[in-house]
Amino acid sequence: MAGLDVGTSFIVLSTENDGNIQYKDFRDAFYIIKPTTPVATKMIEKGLSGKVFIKDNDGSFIILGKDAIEKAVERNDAAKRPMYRGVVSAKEKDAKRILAFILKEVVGTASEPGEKLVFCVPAQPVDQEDEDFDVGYHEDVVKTVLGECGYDPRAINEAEALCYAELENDDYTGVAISCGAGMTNVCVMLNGEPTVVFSTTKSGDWIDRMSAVATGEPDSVVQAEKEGGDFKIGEPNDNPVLSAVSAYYERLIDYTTKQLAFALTNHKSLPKFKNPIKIVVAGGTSQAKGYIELFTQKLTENNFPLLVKEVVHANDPLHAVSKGCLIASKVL
Amino acid sequence: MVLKNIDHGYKMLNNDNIIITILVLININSVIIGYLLARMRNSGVSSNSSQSFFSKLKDDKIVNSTIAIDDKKFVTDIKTDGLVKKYDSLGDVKQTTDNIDNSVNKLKNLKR
Repeated sequence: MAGLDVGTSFIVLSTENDGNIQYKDFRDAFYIIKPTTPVATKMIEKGLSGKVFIKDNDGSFIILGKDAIEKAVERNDAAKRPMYRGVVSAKEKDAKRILAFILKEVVGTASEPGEKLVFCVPAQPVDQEDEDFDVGYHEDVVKTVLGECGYDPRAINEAEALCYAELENDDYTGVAISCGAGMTNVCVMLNGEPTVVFSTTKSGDWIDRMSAVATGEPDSVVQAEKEGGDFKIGEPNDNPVLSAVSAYYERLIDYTTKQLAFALTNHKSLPKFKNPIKIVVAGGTSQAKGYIELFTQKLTENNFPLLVKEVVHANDPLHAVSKGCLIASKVL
Repeated sequence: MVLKNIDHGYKMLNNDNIIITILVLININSVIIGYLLARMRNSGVSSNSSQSFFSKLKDDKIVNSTIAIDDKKFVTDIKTDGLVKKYDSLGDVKQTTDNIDNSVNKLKNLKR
C-alpha cells in the first residue's frame, strides 16, 4: 500500500517500512536544453554529469527536479513545471509525458499486481472558472500512469487526506488547509466525513510570479531566494526580492482567509460544531516564518464563521498530505 | 315500525361515520407527525457525506445504474519509451518513526 501526493511543486510517495513511514520526495520541475551541434551535445552531456537528467529521442536533454531549477537559475531562465495549479499543465507541450516519466520513476513497479495506491487531487476552485482546469482529466492521466506500473490507483481530495493525517486527536473533526505551490485546498470535516471541500488558485506560485514582476527577476530566482532566504512575513527586509515576497505573503494570507470566510458563511453543508474546532495548516507555502500567526490574526479580522480552538502547523508540513493518502489506502 | 327501523338505521350510520371519521383523523395525524419528525431530524447537523472518499466508493456502485454517456476528455497513450535515463537514483528518501496504526484503526471504526 502507498500514498502519493501529486503536487504542483513536489511529488511525495509514502510507504510503510517496519511499522514506520518512509517518504520519497521529488521536485516536480524540468528544464530542456536542445543542443544545436554534435559538439555541443557532448559538452552539455559532460556538464550535466552527476545531475538527474534524461535524453529525449530528438537529442535534447531534459533535466529533472531541483537540478532543473538550479540549471534554469544558472541560465537566468525559468524552469518548467509538468503541473500547473494542481493539475497536469495544459500550457506545457511535454507536461503529460514528463509527469508520467517522473511518476513512474518515483513510485516504481507495484510490489504485487493491484497494490492499492491512493493519490491526491485538488478540489474545484471557488475563484476561477478555467477550461484548462480539468480535475477529472488530471485524475485519469495519473490513474493511467499508475495503472501501467501495476497499481490499483484511487484518488482522494488533497485536504481530506490532510484531515486523516492530522485530526486523529480531534476525532477527525476540524478544518484542514493545504497550502501548496499551485493552490490552497480546504476541507471541513465532521467525525471523519468531509462536509465542505473547495480550493483557491492563489498560493506559493502566485507569490513567486508577483514578486518576479515587482523585482524584474525570473520566477525561478524568486523561488530560490524565497526557499533559501531568511525572512519573516510582515517584517521589513533589506533584500528587495524577500521584501516583495513578504509583502505578497501578507496579501495572499488576507485573500485566503477572506475566501475561507466567504465560502463557509451560511454554507448549507457546514456542520453546527458543538465545540471550537482545530484548524491544521500544511504545505510548502505555509513554512514561511510568521505564516501561522498572521493566518490566525486574519481569520479573526475577516470574520471566519466558526469558533476556533487553535490554528496549528502540521507536524511535517511537506509530507502530511502523502501520509493522509497512505492512511486512506490502509482504511480501504 | 318502519319509522323505528329508519331511526335505528340512522343511528347505525352515525356510529359508522364516527368510527370512520376517527380512523381518518388518526391516519392524517400519523402522516403529519411522521412528516414533522422527518423535518426535525433533517434540520440538525447537515453532513454532505457523499463527498467522502470512502462513501464515494460505495456510492459508485449505486450510481452505476444511471445510464449516461462518458464525455470526459480521453487520455491518449502516454509514451515515455523515447526518454533515456542518465542517472542512478531519483528523489530524496526520508525515514520517520511515525506510526499510523492508531489513525487507521480509529478511522476504520468511524467508517463502519
